[in-house]
Amino acid sequence: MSSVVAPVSHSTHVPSLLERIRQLWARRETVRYLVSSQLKAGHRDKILGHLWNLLDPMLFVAVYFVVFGLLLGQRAPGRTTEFILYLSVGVLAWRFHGTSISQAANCVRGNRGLIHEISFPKSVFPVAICLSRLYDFLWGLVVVALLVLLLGNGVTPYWLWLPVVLLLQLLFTLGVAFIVAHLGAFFADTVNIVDVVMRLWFYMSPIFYQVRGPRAILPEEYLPLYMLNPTACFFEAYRDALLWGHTPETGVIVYVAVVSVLVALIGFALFARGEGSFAKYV
Amino acid sequence: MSEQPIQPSIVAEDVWVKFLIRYHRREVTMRETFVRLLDWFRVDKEANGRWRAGFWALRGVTLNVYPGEVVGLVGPNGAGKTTLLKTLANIVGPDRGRLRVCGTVGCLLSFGVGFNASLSGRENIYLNGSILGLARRKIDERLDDIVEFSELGEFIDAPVRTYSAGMKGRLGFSIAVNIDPDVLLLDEVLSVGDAAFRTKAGSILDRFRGENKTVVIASHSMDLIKRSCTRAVWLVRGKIRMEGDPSEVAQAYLAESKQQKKA
Repeated sequence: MSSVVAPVSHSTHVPSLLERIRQLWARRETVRYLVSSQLKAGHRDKILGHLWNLLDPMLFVAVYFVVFGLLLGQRAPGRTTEFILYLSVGVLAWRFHGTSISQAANCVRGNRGLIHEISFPKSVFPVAICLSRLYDFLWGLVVVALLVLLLGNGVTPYWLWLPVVLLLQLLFTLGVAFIVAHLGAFFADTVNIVDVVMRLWFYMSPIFYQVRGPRAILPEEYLPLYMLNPTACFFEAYRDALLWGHTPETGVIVYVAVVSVLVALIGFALFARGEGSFAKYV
Repeated sequence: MSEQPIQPSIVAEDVWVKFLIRYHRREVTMRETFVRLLDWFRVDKEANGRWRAGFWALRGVTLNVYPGEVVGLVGPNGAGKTTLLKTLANIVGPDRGRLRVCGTVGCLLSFGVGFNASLSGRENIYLNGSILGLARRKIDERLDDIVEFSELGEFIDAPVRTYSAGMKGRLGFSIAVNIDPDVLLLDEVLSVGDAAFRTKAGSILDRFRGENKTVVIASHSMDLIKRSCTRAVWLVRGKIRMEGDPSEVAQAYLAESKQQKKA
Protein backbone atom coordinates (compact mmCIF):
# COMPACT_ATOMS: atom_id res chain seq x y z
CA MET A 1 0.00 0.00 0.00
CA SER A 2 1.35 3.37 -0.95
CA SER A 3 -0.43 5.39 1.71
CA VAL A 4 1.37 5.96 4.97
CA VAL A 5 -1.82 6.49 6.92
CA ALA A 6 -2.28 3.82 9.53
CA PRO A 7 -4.79 1.31 8.24
CA VAL A 8 -8.14 1.98 9.80
CA SER A 9 -9.99 -1.25 9.62
CA HIS A 10 -13.56 -1.00 10.65
CA SER A 11 -15.61 -4.03 11.33
CA THR A 12 -18.43 -5.06 13.58
CA HIS A 13 -16.46 -3.64 16.50
CA VAL A 14 -18.27 -1.33 18.93
CA PRO A 15 -15.95 1.32 20.39
CA SER A 16 -15.93 2.03 24.11
CA LEU A 17 -16.82 5.39 25.61
CA LEU A 18 -13.19 6.32 26.14
CA GLU A 19 -12.41 5.43 22.55
CA ARG A 20 -15.30 7.62 21.40
CA ILE A 21 -14.01 10.55 23.42
CA ARG A 22 -10.60 10.04 21.89
CA GLN A 23 -12.12 9.90 18.38
CA LEU A 24 -13.93 13.14 19.07
CA TRP A 25 -10.73 14.74 20.31
CA ALA A 26 -8.96 13.59 17.14
CA ARG A 27 -11.64 15.48 15.22
CA ARG A 28 -11.09 18.80 16.98
CA GLU A 29 -10.02 20.34 13.70
CA THR A 30 -13.32 19.33 12.11
CA VAL A 31 -15.14 20.94 15.03
CA ARG A 32 -13.13 24.09 14.47
CA TYR A 33 -14.07 24.18 10.80
CA LEU A 34 -17.73 23.57 11.58
CA VAL A 35 -17.73 26.36 14.16
CA SER A 36 -15.91 28.82 11.97
CA SER A 37 -18.06 28.00 8.96
CA GLN A 38 -21.22 28.43 11.02
CA LEU A 39 -19.99 31.76 12.30
CA LYS A 40 -18.75 32.91 8.93
CA ALA A 41 -21.87 31.89 7.06
CA GLY A 42 -23.98 33.56 9.73
CA HIS A 43 -23.03 37.17 9.07
CA ARG A 44 -21.57 37.01 5.60
CA ASP A 45 -24.29 38.62 3.51
CA LYS A 46 -25.23 41.28 6.06
CA ILE A 47 -24.48 44.96 5.68
CA LEU A 48 -23.48 45.32 9.32
CA GLY A 49 -21.51 42.08 9.18
CA HIS A 50 -19.69 41.18 12.35
CA LEU A 51 -21.04 44.23 14.13
CA TRP A 52 -24.05 42.00 14.80
CA ASN A 53 -21.90 40.09 17.28
CA LEU A 54 -22.23 43.10 19.58
CA LEU A 55 -25.58 44.47 18.40
CA ASP A 56 -27.40 41.17 18.89
CA PRO A 57 -26.79 40.83 22.63
CA MET A 58 -27.38 44.56 23.19
CA LEU A 59 -30.73 44.52 21.44
CA PHE A 60 -31.63 41.31 23.20
CA VAL A 61 -31.09 42.89 26.60
CA ALA A 62 -32.89 46.04 25.47
CA VAL A 63 -36.00 44.10 24.46
CA TYR A 64 -36.17 42.26 27.76
CA PHE A 65 -35.62 45.52 29.59
CA VAL A 66 -38.57 47.12 27.83
CA VAL A 67 -40.85 44.14 28.40
CA PHE A 68 -39.98 43.10 31.93
CA GLY A 69 -38.45 46.27 33.33
CA LEU A 70 -40.77 48.90 31.94
CA LEU A 71 -44.00 47.15 31.01
CA LEU A 72 -44.18 44.45 33.67
CA GLY A 73 -42.43 46.53 36.33
CA GLN A 74 -39.90 44.01 37.56
CA ARG A 75 -37.31 46.67 38.40
CA ALA A 76 -37.38 48.21 41.84
CA PRO A 77 -38.04 51.94 41.82
CA GLY A 78 -34.81 53.87 41.59
CA ARG A 79 -32.69 50.81 40.93
CA THR A 80 -32.86 50.73 37.14
CA THR A 81 -29.13 50.27 36.59
CA GLU A 82 -29.01 47.34 38.95
CA PHE A 83 -31.91 45.76 37.11
CA ILE A 84 -30.24 46.23 33.73
CA LEU A 85 -27.12 44.51 35.00
CA TYR A 86 -29.12 41.73 36.61
CA LEU A 87 -31.15 41.22 33.46
CA SER A 88 -28.22 41.29 31.03
CA VAL A 89 -26.41 38.42 32.76
CA GLY A 90 -29.54 36.26 32.91
CA VAL A 91 -30.70 36.96 29.38
CA LEU A 92 -27.34 36.40 27.72
CA ALA A 93 -26.39 33.30 29.72
CA TRP A 94 -29.82 31.89 28.90
CA ARG A 95 -29.38 32.66 25.23
CA PHE A 96 -26.25 30.51 25.22
CA HIS A 97 -28.06 27.64 26.91
CA GLY A 98 -31.39 27.89 25.11
CA THR A 99 -30.14 28.43 21.56
CA SER A 100 -27.58 25.63 21.83
CA ILE A 101 -30.22 23.14 22.87
CA SER A 102 -32.86 24.22 20.36
CA GLN A 103 -30.33 23.93 17.55
CA ALA A 104 -29.03 20.59 18.80
CA ALA A 105 -32.53 19.11 18.51
CA ASN A 106 -32.26 19.32 14.75
CA CYS A 107 -28.54 18.83 14.25
CA VAL A 108 -28.62 15.22 13.08
CA ARG A 109 -31.54 15.62 10.70
CA GLY A 110 -30.19 18.93 9.46
CA ASN A 111 -26.93 17.28 8.46
CA ARG A 112 -28.41 14.17 6.92
CA GLY A 113 -26.55 14.89 3.68
CA LEU A 114 -23.18 14.54 5.35
CA ILE A 115 -24.28 11.64 7.52
CA HIS A 116 -25.32 9.69 4.45
CA GLU A 117 -22.13 10.47 2.61
CA ILE A 118 -19.24 10.15 5.01
CA SER A 119 -18.42 8.07 8.06
CA PHE A 120 -17.21 10.24 10.96
CA PRO A 121 -18.04 10.82 14.63
CA LYS A 122 -21.38 12.58 14.61
CA SER A 123 -20.70 14.05 18.03
CA VAL A 124 -18.90 16.89 16.26
CA PHE A 125 -22.29 18.49 15.52
CA PRO A 126 -23.59 19.13 19.05
CA VAL A 127 -20.10 20.19 20.11
CA ALA A 128 -19.81 22.62 17.20
CA ILE A 129 -23.23 24.09 17.97
CA CYS A 130 -22.44 24.64 21.63
CA LEU A 131 -19.08 26.20 20.84
CA SER A 132 -20.61 28.54 18.25
CA ARG A 133 -23.18 29.70 20.79
CA LEU A 134 -20.42 30.01 23.38
CA TYR A 135 -18.66 32.33 20.96
CA ASP A 136 -21.81 34.46 20.80
CA PHE A 137 -22.00 34.42 24.58
CA LEU A 138 -18.42 35.67 24.83
CA TRP A 139 -19.51 38.72 22.83
CA GLY A 140 -22.47 38.93 25.18
CA LEU A 141 -20.02 39.00 28.07
CA VAL A 142 -18.25 41.89 26.39
CA VAL A 143 -21.57 43.72 26.53
CA VAL A 144 -21.95 42.76 30.19
CA ALA A 145 -18.43 44.01 30.88
CA LEU A 146 -19.23 47.33 29.18
CA LEU A 147 -22.40 47.65 31.25
CA VAL A 148 -20.53 46.83 34.45
CA LEU A 149 -17.87 49.42 33.64
CA LEU A 150 -20.49 52.06 32.82
CA LEU A 151 -23.11 51.34 35.47
CA GLY A 152 -21.69 48.96 38.04
CA ASN A 153 -18.73 48.27 40.26
CA GLY A 154 -16.19 47.91 37.50
CA VAL A 155 -14.12 44.80 36.97
CA THR A 156 -13.17 43.06 40.21
CA PRO A 157 -10.83 40.11 40.93
CA TYR A 158 -13.95 38.00 41.33
CA TRP A 159 -14.18 38.00 37.53
CA LEU A 160 -11.61 35.23 37.74
CA TRP A 161 -14.51 32.96 38.64
CA LEU A 162 -15.99 33.59 35.21
CA PRO A 163 -13.99 30.91 33.31
CA VAL A 164 -14.86 28.34 35.96
CA VAL A 165 -18.59 28.95 35.78
CA LEU A 166 -18.41 29.25 32.01
CA LEU A 167 -16.68 25.89 31.67
CA LEU A 168 -19.23 24.21 33.92
CA GLN A 169 -22.12 25.72 32.01
CA LEU A 170 -20.55 24.59 28.74
CA LEU A 171 -20.32 21.03 30.06
CA PHE A 172 -23.91 21.07 31.24
CA THR A 173 -25.29 22.61 28.05
CA LEU A 174 -23.25 20.16 26.00
CA GLY A 175 -24.67 17.23 27.94
CA VAL A 176 -28.26 18.36 27.44
CA ALA A 177 -27.49 19.12 23.78
CA PHE A 178 -26.24 15.55 23.29
CA ILE A 179 -29.39 14.12 24.83
CA VAL A 180 -31.65 16.33 22.74
CA ALA A 181 -29.65 15.62 19.57
CA HIS A 182 -29.96 11.89 20.19
CA LEU A 183 -33.72 12.13 20.63
CA GLY A 184 -34.03 14.46 17.66
CA ALA A 185 -32.34 11.93 15.41
CA PHE A 186 -34.90 9.24 16.16
CA PHE A 187 -38.04 11.31 16.70
CA ALA A 188 -38.83 14.29 14.52
CA ASP A 189 -41.29 15.43 17.21
CA THR A 190 -38.39 16.34 19.49
CA VAL A 191 -38.16 19.84 18.04
CA ASN A 192 -41.69 20.68 19.19
CA ILE A 193 -41.23 19.20 22.64
CA VAL A 194 -37.89 20.92 23.15
CA ASP A 195 -39.51 24.19 22.17
CA VAL A 196 -42.09 23.91 24.94
CA VAL A 197 -39.71 22.54 27.55
CA MET A 198 -37.18 25.30 26.89
CA ARG A 199 -39.88 27.92 27.30
CA LEU A 200 -40.84 26.45 30.66
CA TRP A 201 -37.19 26.23 31.64
CA PHE A 202 -36.75 29.89 30.76
CA TYR A 203 -39.51 30.92 33.16
CA MET A 204 -38.19 28.54 35.82
CA SER A 205 -34.80 30.27 35.79
CA PRO A 206 -33.88 33.51 37.52
CA ILE A 207 -33.59 35.68 34.41
CA PHE A 208 -35.91 38.66 34.78
CA TYR A 209 -37.25 38.09 38.30
CA GLN A 210 -35.29 37.81 41.52
CA VAL A 211 -35.18 34.92 43.93
CA ARG A 212 -33.16 36.57 46.68
CA GLY A 213 -33.57 39.77 48.62
CA PRO A 214 -36.67 41.88 49.19
CA ARG A 215 -38.07 41.47 45.70
CA ALA A 216 -37.79 37.69 45.66
CA ILE A 217 -40.79 36.09 44.01
CA LEU A 218 -40.81 32.95 46.10
CA PRO A 219 -40.70 32.27 49.85
CA GLU A 220 -37.19 31.72 51.15
CA GLU A 221 -37.82 28.17 52.34
CA TYR A 222 -38.36 27.09 48.72
CA LEU A 223 -35.08 28.55 47.57
CA PRO A 224 -33.00 25.34 48.03
CA LEU A 225 -35.55 23.45 45.97
CA TYR A 226 -35.53 26.15 43.32
CA MET A 227 -31.75 26.09 43.17
CA LEU A 228 -31.74 22.43 42.16
CA ASN A 229 -32.19 23.81 38.66
CA PRO A 230 -28.60 24.01 37.36
CA THR A 231 -29.31 27.06 35.19
CA ALA A 232 -30.42 28.92 38.33
CA CYS A 233 -27.08 28.06 39.90
CA PHE A 234 -25.14 29.22 36.86
CA PHE A 235 -26.95 32.52 36.52
CA GLU A 236 -26.62 33.32 40.21
CA ALA A 237 -22.95 32.35 40.16
CA TYR A 238 -22.31 34.64 37.18
CA ARG A 239 -24.01 37.49 39.03
CA ASP A 240 -22.06 36.85 42.21
CA ALA A 241 -18.77 37.01 40.36
CA LEU A 242 -19.47 39.70 37.78
CA LEU A 243 -21.94 42.06 39.43
CA TRP A 244 -22.01 41.79 43.19
CA GLY A 245 -18.29 41.27 43.62
CA HIS A 246 -18.14 38.17 45.77
CA THR A 247 -17.25 34.51 45.47
CA PRO A 248 -20.04 32.22 44.26
CA GLU A 249 -21.35 29.94 47.01
CA THR A 250 -19.16 26.87 47.39
CA GLY A 251 -22.14 24.56 47.72
CA VAL A 252 -23.61 25.83 44.49
CA ILE A 253 -20.36 25.40 42.58
CA VAL A 254 -19.79 21.89 43.88
CA TYR A 255 -23.37 20.94 43.08
CA VAL A 256 -23.27 22.19 39.48
CA ALA A 257 -19.82 20.71 38.95
CA VAL A 258 -21.13 17.26 39.85
CA VAL A 259 -24.34 17.68 37.87
CA SER A 260 -22.54 19.06 34.80
CA VAL A 261 -20.00 16.28 34.61
CA LEU A 262 -22.71 13.67 35.09
CA VAL A 263 -25.03 15.17 32.49
CA ALA A 264 -22.17 15.57 30.01
CA LEU A 265 -21.12 11.94 30.43
CA ILE A 266 -24.66 10.58 30.27
CA GLY A 267 -25.45 12.72 27.24
CA PHE A 268 -22.32 11.69 25.41
CA ALA A 269 -22.81 8.01 26.19
CA LEU A 270 -26.41 8.14 25.01
CA PHE A 271 -25.49 9.94 21.81
CA ALA A 272 -22.61 7.56 21.12
CA ARG A 273 -24.91 4.58 21.55
CA GLY A 274 -27.32 5.79 18.90
CA GLU A 275 -24.75 7.26 16.55
CA GLY A 276 -24.26 4.09 14.52
CA SER A 277 -27.90 3.91 13.43
CA PHE A 278 -28.43 7.59 12.56
CA ALA A 279 -27.90 6.89 8.87
CA LYS A 280 -30.70 4.35 8.96
CA TYR A 281 -33.21 6.66 10.61
CA VAL A 282 -32.76 10.12 9.19
CA MET B 1 -7.68 -12.85 -9.77
CA SER B 2 -5.68 -16.03 -9.39
CA GLU B 3 -2.35 -15.02 -7.77
CA GLN B 4 -3.30 -13.92 -4.28
CA PRO B 5 -0.78 -14.05 -1.54
CA ILE B 6 -1.85 -10.42 -0.94
CA GLN B 7 -4.33 -9.43 1.72
CA PRO B 8 -7.76 -8.41 0.46
CA SER B 9 -8.58 -4.78 1.26
CA ILE B 10 -12.26 -5.52 1.64
CA VAL B 11 -13.58 -8.63 3.31
CA ALA B 12 -17.33 -8.95 3.60
CA GLU B 13 -18.68 -12.19 5.01
CA ASP B 14 -22.38 -12.83 4.90
CA VAL B 15 -23.30 -9.18 5.42
CA TRP B 16 -26.93 -8.38 6.15
CA VAL B 17 -28.26 -4.83 6.46
CA LYS B 18 -31.73 -3.94 7.59
CA PHE B 19 -33.42 -0.62 7.13
CA LEU B 20 -36.37 0.63 9.08
CA ILE B 21 -39.05 2.11 6.94
CA ARG B 22 -41.59 4.33 8.57
CA TYR B 23 -44.88 4.19 6.84
CA HIS B 24 -46.28 7.25 8.52
CA ARG B 25 -44.47 9.34 5.96
CA ARG B 26 -47.69 9.24 3.96
CA GLU B 27 -50.44 11.73 4.70
CA VAL B 28 -52.07 10.89 8.02
CA THR B 29 -55.23 12.51 9.31
CA MET B 30 -55.51 13.73 12.88
CA ARG B 31 -58.07 10.99 13.60
CA GLU B 32 -55.78 8.24 12.39
CA THR B 33 -53.00 9.56 14.58
CA PHE B 34 -55.23 9.35 17.66
CA VAL B 35 -56.33 5.85 16.78
CA ARG B 36 -52.76 4.80 16.30
CA LEU B 37 -51.69 6.31 19.60
CA LEU B 38 -54.47 4.39 21.34
CA ASP B 39 -53.32 1.22 19.65
CA TRP B 40 -49.87 1.92 20.83
CA PHE B 41 -50.95 2.30 24.44
CA ARG B 42 -52.73 -1.02 24.23
CA VAL B 43 -49.34 -2.48 23.39
CA ASP B 44 -50.81 -3.95 20.28
CA LYS B 45 -47.86 -5.60 18.59
CA GLU B 46 -49.65 -5.79 15.30
CA ALA B 47 -50.39 -2.08 15.23
CA ASN B 48 -46.91 -1.29 16.36
CA GLY B 49 -45.52 -3.30 13.52
CA ARG B 50 -47.29 -1.12 11.03
CA TRP B 51 -45.38 1.93 12.23
CA ARG B 52 -42.03 0.60 11.33
CA ALA B 53 -41.27 -2.29 9.10
CA GLY B 54 -37.86 -3.81 8.67
CA PHE B 55 -36.52 -4.15 5.19
CA TRP B 56 -33.46 -6.20 4.41
CA ALA B 57 -31.53 -4.19 1.87
CA LEU B 58 -28.62 -6.63 1.85
CA ARG B 59 -29.17 -10.33 2.39
CA GLY B 60 -25.96 -12.17 2.96
CA VAL B 61 -23.41 -10.53 0.69
CA THR B 62 -19.99 -12.20 0.67
CA LEU B 63 -17.32 -10.36 -1.24
CA ASN B 64 -13.53 -10.10 -1.15
CA VAL B 65 -11.88 -7.28 -3.01
CA TYR B 66 -8.12 -7.13 -3.52
CA PRO B 67 -5.86 -4.12 -4.09
CA GLY B 68 -5.62 -3.29 -7.78
CA GLU B 69 -9.17 -4.32 -8.50
CA VAL B 70 -11.88 -2.06 -9.85
CA VAL B 71 -15.17 -3.70 -9.01
CA GLY B 72 -18.31 -2.56 -10.75
CA LEU B 73 -21.69 -3.03 -9.10
CA VAL B 74 -24.63 -3.46 -11.44
CA GLY B 75 -28.25 -4.21 -10.85
CA PRO B 76 -31.71 -2.65 -11.07
CA ASN B 77 -32.77 0.24 -8.85
CA GLY B 78 -33.25 -0.89 -5.28
CA ALA B 79 -30.93 -3.88 -5.64
CA GLY B 80 -28.73 -2.71 -2.77
CA LYS B 81 -25.82 -1.16 -4.68
CA THR B 82 -25.83 2.06 -2.69
CA THR B 83 -26.45 0.20 0.56
CA LEU B 84 -23.45 -2.00 -0.11
CA LEU B 85 -21.28 1.06 -0.75
CA LYS B 86 -22.59 2.73 2.39
CA THR B 87 -21.84 -0.36 4.41
CA LEU B 88 -18.31 -0.56 3.01
CA ALA B 89 -17.86 3.13 3.86
CA ASN B 90 -18.97 2.42 7.44
CA ILE B 91 -21.87 4.83 7.07
CA VAL B 92 -24.34 2.12 8.04
CA GLY B 93 -23.25 -0.83 10.12
CA PRO B 94 -24.06 -4.41 9.13
CA ASP B 95 -26.78 -6.04 11.23
CA ARG B 96 -25.33 -9.47 10.68
CA GLY B 97 -22.10 -10.77 9.33
CA ARG B 98 -18.53 -9.57 9.36
CA LEU B 99 -16.95 -6.71 7.49
CA ARG B 100 -13.38 -5.49 7.37
CA VAL B 101 -12.05 -2.65 5.24
CA CYS B 102 -8.34 -1.85 5.32
CA GLY B 103 -6.89 1.54 4.60
CA THR B 104 -8.31 5.01 4.25
CA VAL B 105 -11.65 5.16 2.52
CA GLY B 106 -12.67 7.88 0.10
CA CYS B 107 -16.24 7.86 -0.99
CA LEU B 108 -18.51 9.90 -3.15
CA LEU B 109 -22.03 8.62 -2.92
CA SER B 110 -24.01 11.66 -3.95
CA PHE B 111 -22.90 15.00 -5.19
CA GLY B 112 -22.72 18.11 -3.15
CA VAL B 113 -25.06 17.26 -0.29
CA GLY B 114 -22.16 17.51 2.11
CA PHE B 115 -21.39 21.07 1.12
CA ASN B 116 -22.30 24.14 3.11
CA ALA B 117 -24.06 26.18 0.44
CA SER B 118 -23.17 29.62 1.75
CA LEU B 119 -19.46 28.91 1.96
CA SER B 120 -17.13 29.12 -1.01
CA GLY B 121 -15.84 26.07 -2.82
CA ARG B 122 -12.43 26.58 -1.27
CA GLU B 123 -13.83 26.74 2.27
CA ASN B 124 -15.88 23.65 1.54
CA ILE B 125 -12.75 21.78 0.49
CA TYR B 126 -11.31 22.41 3.94
CA LEU B 127 -14.54 21.56 5.72
CA ASN B 128 -15.15 18.39 3.71
CA GLY B 129 -11.52 17.34 3.82
CA SER B 130 -11.51 17.68 7.55
CA ILE B 131 -14.73 15.70 7.92
CA LEU B 132 -13.12 13.03 5.77
CA GLY B 133 -10.36 12.98 8.37
CA LEU B 134 -7.62 14.93 6.65
CA ALA B 135 -5.31 17.23 8.59
CA ARG B 136 -5.17 20.88 7.57
CA ARG B 137 -1.58 20.52 6.39
CA LYS B 138 -2.53 17.68 4.05
CA ILE B 139 -5.39 19.72 2.61
CA ASP B 140 -3.06 22.68 2.08
CA GLU B 141 -0.77 20.39 0.11
CA ARG B 142 -3.54 19.06 -2.09
CA LEU B 143 -5.58 22.20 -2.50
CA ASP B 144 -4.09 23.13 -5.87
CA ASP B 145 -4.60 19.64 -7.24
CA ILE B 146 -8.20 19.58 -6.11
CA VAL B 147 -8.98 22.98 -7.58
CA GLU B 148 -7.26 22.16 -10.84
CA PHE B 149 -8.89 18.76 -11.18
CA SER B 150 -12.35 20.18 -10.51
CA GLU B 151 -11.88 22.68 -13.37
CA LEU B 152 -13.80 25.26 -11.37
CA GLY B 153 -11.25 28.02 -11.97
CA GLU B 154 -12.17 31.28 -10.30
CA PHE B 155 -15.56 29.90 -9.24
CA ILE B 156 -13.72 28.14 -6.44
CA ASP B 157 -14.15 31.29 -4.36
CA ALA B 158 -17.85 31.71 -5.15
CA PRO B 159 -20.45 30.32 -2.73
CA VAL B 160 -21.39 26.73 -3.50
CA ARG B 161 -25.07 27.68 -3.74
CA THR B 162 -24.24 29.33 -7.06
CA TYR B 163 -22.84 26.07 -8.48
CA SER B 164 -24.61 23.86 -10.96
CA ALA B 165 -25.13 20.17 -10.21
CA GLY B 166 -22.25 19.31 -12.51
CA MET B 167 -19.91 21.74 -10.76
CA LYS B 168 -20.80 20.32 -7.35
CA GLY B 169 -20.27 16.82 -8.65
CA ARG B 170 -16.86 17.74 -10.04
CA LEU B 171 -15.79 19.37 -6.80
CA GLY B 172 -16.98 16.40 -4.75
CA PHE B 173 -15.22 13.95 -7.06
CA SER B 174 -12.01 15.98 -6.97
CA ILE B 175 -11.99 15.94 -3.18
CA ALA B 176 -12.77 12.22 -2.97
CA VAL B 177 -10.04 11.33 -5.45
CA ASN B 178 -7.38 13.73 -4.25
CA ILE B 179 -7.45 12.75 -0.61
CA ASP B 180 -5.53 9.76 -1.93
CA PRO B 181 -7.63 7.00 -0.39
CA ASP B 182 -6.65 3.34 -0.40
CA VAL B 183 -10.23 2.39 -1.07
CA LEU B 184 -12.41 4.53 -3.31
CA LEU B 185 -16.17 4.06 -3.35
CA LEU B 186 -18.20 5.75 -6.08
CA ASP B 187 -21.92 5.72 -6.69
CA GLU B 188 -23.14 6.66 -10.14
CA VAL B 189 -21.65 10.09 -9.81
CA LEU B 190 -19.37 10.21 -12.78
CA SER B 191 -22.33 10.67 -15.06
CA VAL B 192 -22.95 14.24 -13.89
CA GLY B 193 -19.87 15.74 -15.48
CA ASP B 194 -19.58 16.65 -19.13
CA ALA B 195 -17.91 14.34 -21.63
CA ALA B 196 -14.43 15.73 -21.06
CA PHE B 197 -14.70 15.33 -17.32
CA ARG B 198 -15.98 11.80 -17.68
CA THR B 199 -12.97 10.85 -19.73
CA LYS B 200 -10.72 12.32 -17.09
CA ALA B 201 -12.60 10.49 -14.35
CA GLY B 202 -12.25 7.25 -16.29
CA SER B 203 -8.50 7.70 -16.47
CA ILE B 204 -8.48 8.23 -12.72
CA LEU B 205 -9.95 4.77 -12.28
CA ASP B 206 -7.12 3.39 -14.39
CA ARG B 207 -4.61 5.29 -12.28
CA PHE B 208 -6.04 3.84 -9.09
CA ARG B 209 -5.80 0.36 -10.53
CA GLY B 210 -2.21 1.05 -11.53
CA GLU B 211 -1.37 2.20 -8.01
CA ASN B 212 -2.73 -1.01 -6.58
CA LYS B 213 -5.64 0.64 -4.87
CA THR B 214 -9.15 -0.61 -4.56
CA VAL B 215 -12.15 0.88 -6.30
CA VAL B 216 -15.77 -0.13 -5.99
CA ILE B 217 -18.13 1.70 -8.30
CA ALA B 218 -21.86 1.36 -8.81
CA SER B 219 -23.07 2.25 -12.26
CA HIS B 220 -25.83 1.81 -14.76
CA SER B 221 -23.45 2.47 -17.60
CA MET B 222 -22.41 -0.88 -19.00
CA ASP B 223 -19.81 0.92 -21.13
CA LEU B 224 -18.09 2.15 -18.00
CA ILE B 225 -18.31 -1.27 -16.38
CA LYS B 226 -16.82 -2.99 -19.40
CA ARG B 227 -14.17 -0.36 -20.01
CA SER B 228 -12.86 0.38 -16.52
CA CYS B 229 -13.68 -2.52 -14.24
CA THR B 230 -11.70 -5.67 -13.65
CA ARG B 231 -14.66 -7.47 -12.13
CA ALA B 232 -18.39 -6.93 -12.02
CA VAL B 233 -20.89 -7.87 -9.35
CA TRP B 234 -24.57 -8.11 -10.19
CA LEU B 235 -26.89 -7.50 -7.28
CA VAL B 236 -30.57 -8.40 -7.20
CA ARG B 237 -32.72 -7.70 -4.16
CA GLY B 238 -29.79 -7.55 -1.81
CA LYS B 239 -28.10 -10.72 -3.02
CA ILE B 240 -25.25 -11.35 -5.39
CA ARG B 241 -26.76 -12.86 -8.52
CA MET B 242 -23.55 -13.21 -10.47
CA GLU B 243 -19.98 -12.01 -10.37
CA GLY B 244 -17.02 -12.26 -12.65
CA ASP B 245 -15.77 -10.88 -15.94
CA PRO B 246 -17.34 -7.44 -16.57
CA SER B 247 -18.41 -8.20 -20.16
CA GLU B 248 -20.06 -11.46 -19.25
CA VAL B 249 -21.89 -10.01 -16.26
CA ALA B 250 -22.97 -6.97 -18.25
CA GLN B 251 -24.25 -9.18 -21.02
CA ALA B 252 -26.20 -11.43 -18.66
CA TYR B 253 -27.63 -8.42 -16.87
CA LEU B 254 -28.70 -6.72 -20.09
CA ALA B 255 -30.19 -9.95 -21.39
CA GLU B 256 -32.36 -10.33 -18.32
CA SER B 257 -33.42 -6.69 -18.35
CA LYS B 258 -34.61 -7.11 -21.91
CA GLN B 259 -36.49 -10.25 -21.06
CA GLN B 260 -38.25 -8.54 -18.18
CA LYS B 261 -39.27 -5.72 -20.45
CA LYS B 262 -40.86 -8.21 -22.80
CA ALA B 263 -42.66 -10.10 -20.07
